[in-house]
Amino acid sequence: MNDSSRATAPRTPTTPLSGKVALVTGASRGIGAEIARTLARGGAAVVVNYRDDADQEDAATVVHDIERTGGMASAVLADVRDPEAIAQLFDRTAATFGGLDIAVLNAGGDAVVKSVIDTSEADFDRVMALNARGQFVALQLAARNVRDGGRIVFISSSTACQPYPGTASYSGAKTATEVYVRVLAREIAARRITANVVSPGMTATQTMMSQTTEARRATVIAATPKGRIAMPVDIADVVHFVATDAARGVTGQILHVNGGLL
Amino acid sequence: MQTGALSGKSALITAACQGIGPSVAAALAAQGARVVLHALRESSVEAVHALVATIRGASGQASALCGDLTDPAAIATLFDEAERVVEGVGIDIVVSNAPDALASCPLADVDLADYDRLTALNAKARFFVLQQAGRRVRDNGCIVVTSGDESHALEIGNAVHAGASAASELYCRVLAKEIGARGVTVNVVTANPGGKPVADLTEAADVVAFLASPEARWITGQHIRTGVAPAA
Repeated sequence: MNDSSRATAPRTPTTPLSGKVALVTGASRGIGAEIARTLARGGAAVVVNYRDDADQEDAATVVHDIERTGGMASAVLADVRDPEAIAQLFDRTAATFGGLDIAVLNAGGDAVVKSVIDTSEADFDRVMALNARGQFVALQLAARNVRDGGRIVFISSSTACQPYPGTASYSGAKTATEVYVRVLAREIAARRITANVVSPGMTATQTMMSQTTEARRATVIAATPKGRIAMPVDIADVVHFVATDAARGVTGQILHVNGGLL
Repeated sequence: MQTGALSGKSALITAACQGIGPSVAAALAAQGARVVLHALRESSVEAVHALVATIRGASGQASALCGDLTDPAAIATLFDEAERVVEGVGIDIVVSNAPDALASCPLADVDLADYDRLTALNAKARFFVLQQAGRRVRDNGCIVVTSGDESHALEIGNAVHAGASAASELYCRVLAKEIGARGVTVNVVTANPGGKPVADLTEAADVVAFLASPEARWITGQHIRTGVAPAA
């Protein structure tokens, strides 16, 4: 499915991403799903990646949401921890939509909340596999596949810059990837591809709600100048901006999107 | 590209003819904002009026004001006048644009008079512009401080200027926490020209315009660096 009319669709103020192709990993739900929908609203054709069969229905729903409003999307299964699967994901993206302009590395998690002393080797390896090693491979493939003038965005977490007891392995992995992105930005600058990190604070997703207590959320709300927790669209709107031409001067940056909490 | 994203909004830009000021004014006006452009000193008045004419020529709305930023009372008067210019609906966006820098001088050799002059413009004036902006910017508005990259570039001869810029960045981070409940965002945008003429840095202006838009509502207390990918 290679719609050539899409490539020549005029970019307008409301569809600044017309003619662009985006890939969002971990896009079956939460922030990733909202990023996919927002980039599609901006005019991009979007590959909605999901990790395993259990997420297939959710991914199909995101695709359906996008197509229902006139956009183009395709769901592709790939586990970001598997280098071969990631390679196939990028190949499938090119085969489906003819190329790639915007790579959003949103897939992450598998956080193990344990003290440094109590973290097992298996815990450490699991957290690193998804949040550092897998992201490194994905960044390599993104750098090789994204067209000149394109965008690479890594979705990190405010935990990475304000780690608290129990978060060493997760924060360390996220921070490692933030450094990969900052270096990559300088390595590919000549191709006018920007590489940035968007680091959200606490955001109202199913995952977040199931992993936090009411008390913790209340503490965060009280400390947030804006007095609420982010909705996924608050994060997605920033990722959309980074994908547009207006953000061409921003690269190698960590954009903290947390309503003033940090 | 006219998007109308800032239609109905008013913006005050201080030291509007310095550095990226003209690009910022043009970018905000292009998105529909009514821009009030401040001239730092008598010698900039003509340049500001020329900028107003350029913006009006492109169907934008612009007016000019002049005022001394080294006197907190004069800053208050400037804001009074700006509010009058926009006919009492209030100011939505305040851009504290960087005033001029000092020629490079090693810390050991800095003359006290030069220290006072540069600090008065780059730290004290910024502080009191932020104070007025913090009091008066409308709910859900936006405050942006712009400057060069001196607080991160840290070059020999740049101590006073870098220190003043760094101070301004901290004022913004604290102010962001103090007025966030009103929905007002406060951020810093710096431009690292990497050898290009600063006037060509439309990309920094585009970031300022984004921060003024609803899509940037969740970014506050931050420092966004534009231009050449930073080494650190």
